[in-house]
Amino acid sequence: MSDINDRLAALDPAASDPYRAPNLNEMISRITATPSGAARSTWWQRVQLRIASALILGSLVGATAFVLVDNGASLPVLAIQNLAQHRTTAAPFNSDTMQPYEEIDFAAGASLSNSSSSTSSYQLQIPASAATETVRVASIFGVSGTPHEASGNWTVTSPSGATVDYDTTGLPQWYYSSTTPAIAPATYSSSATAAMPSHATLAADAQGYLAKLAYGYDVSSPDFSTSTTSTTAQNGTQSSQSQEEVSYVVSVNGLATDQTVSFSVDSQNNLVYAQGPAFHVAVGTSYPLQSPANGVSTLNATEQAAYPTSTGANAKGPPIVHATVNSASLSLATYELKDGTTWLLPLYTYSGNVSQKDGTTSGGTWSELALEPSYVQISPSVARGVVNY
Amino acid sequence: MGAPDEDRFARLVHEHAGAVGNYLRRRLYPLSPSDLDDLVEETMIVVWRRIDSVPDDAELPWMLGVARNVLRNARRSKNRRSAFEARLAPASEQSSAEDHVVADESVRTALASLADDDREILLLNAWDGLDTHALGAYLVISTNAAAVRLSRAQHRFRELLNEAQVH
Repeated sequence: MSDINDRLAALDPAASDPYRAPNLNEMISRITATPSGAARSTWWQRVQLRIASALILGSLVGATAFVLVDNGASLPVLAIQNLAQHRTTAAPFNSDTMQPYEEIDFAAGASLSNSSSSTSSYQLQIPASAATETVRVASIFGVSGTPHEASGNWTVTSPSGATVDYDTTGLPQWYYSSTTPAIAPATYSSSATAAMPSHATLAADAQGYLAKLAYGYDVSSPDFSTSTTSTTAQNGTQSSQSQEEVSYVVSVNGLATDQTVSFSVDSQNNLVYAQGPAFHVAVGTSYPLQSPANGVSTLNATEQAAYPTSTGANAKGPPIVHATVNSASLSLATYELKDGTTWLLPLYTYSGNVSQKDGTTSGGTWSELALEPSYVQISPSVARGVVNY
Repeated sequence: MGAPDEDRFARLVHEHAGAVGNYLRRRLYPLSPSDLDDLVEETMIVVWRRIDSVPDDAELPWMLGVARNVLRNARRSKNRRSAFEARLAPASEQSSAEDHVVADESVRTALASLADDDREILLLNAWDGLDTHALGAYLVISTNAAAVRLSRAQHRFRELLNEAQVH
């Protein structure tokens, strides 16, 4: 990975602009002069004020937001707080490290449909007790021990070193790993150094685990991949292990979601790694969708709202490129609402062409909530739009 | 707290404030760079309050974990505040991580396409220099599990990078 690490290092924002503390000794004196538990910065006090005002606003939103539909009934507006974590397929890009490098002006191509429809959104039922769920998942993978919690992560480790992690940040995810390399893998290849179990065997084993996990979600057709990890131990000894992985996209009523579940085995068909989400799907609520063409307008409005175009002689901001959206596919993506619930909401994934300022053209993929916008309130923090271009 | 605690705290600050600041600097968006000093100090306040909890063999990962939580709280507060309360300037007018990105478009595209948790562990290793032991301490998982997650993230990143370079 050294070549990759070199290229990543070239993107490191802190490399060219490292942090320089103004005066560490002053800060140390300031902090240690305050009794433990009472030391609060002015920044923290500002945060408390902001949170207090926002909670009032949030409760008002929750109390009043309904939209009438044609038959006189009403549907609650979905107040989105955040994109749930643990995205595993193309989905709205919620970058912690970057913002779009160029501002995009989107236009719907002639092939994009103007027809509206409706589809279900699904509230997800999360296991009530993370500790209990951790132990339950661990037992399915043959891992026994006392669960330990820190920062939302629950872990059970067996004497053999096999581990089940249960991460409650965002939509809960479980991870199983057998006794595995003690240091980072040195190299990767996409072939095996030994005969691997058949795809049929692996798929059958995976289905067996899914049945025991009993979350009840559907999965797509299996996707198989082979890899070999070569590692170097601290004493210099080199070893390698080949793995066969089967991966599934979690689906609900035939729609793919942004969640995946996967299982990997070694050449002896021992499970070495597995991961997936922990949720059950509640009964869906049908919501109107905006047409794919209107969704592009929403995408454009979102882009403009997030990164306003400055004009005039002293205009600042990123260069503007033009994108034509030619196709849309519907899937379900995970969102956290302001009331703390987690939902799978319909999402358009758009494909199209981007015309760069230098005259070149490249492909692009973007996404936008498919829900009719009047049914959605989105926190300004929720990044949408650019996925990949 | 006595003098030994103060001495240890002072050492921790002097040894790791730069790394903590760089960690926050890399992930500051959408917060303003002007908040960086405040966030570093807030991190150190938590370290001071929990000085007895700082593990001897994983001081920096533990402090970066605190910084991560401080950053999350700051983002939550920023997300919640209404626009007219904004003390922070709009992101488009602020220097961000993106401003410093070298135009390696393929790497950038591959990074953007990674799942959040894959991107996090990949950059913790490549940018913050955490090895699998430190990653395990930071993520509160076993070293073995951290090694697996890192290798998975590297594998997926390499696949995405290959795809990005083909297109």
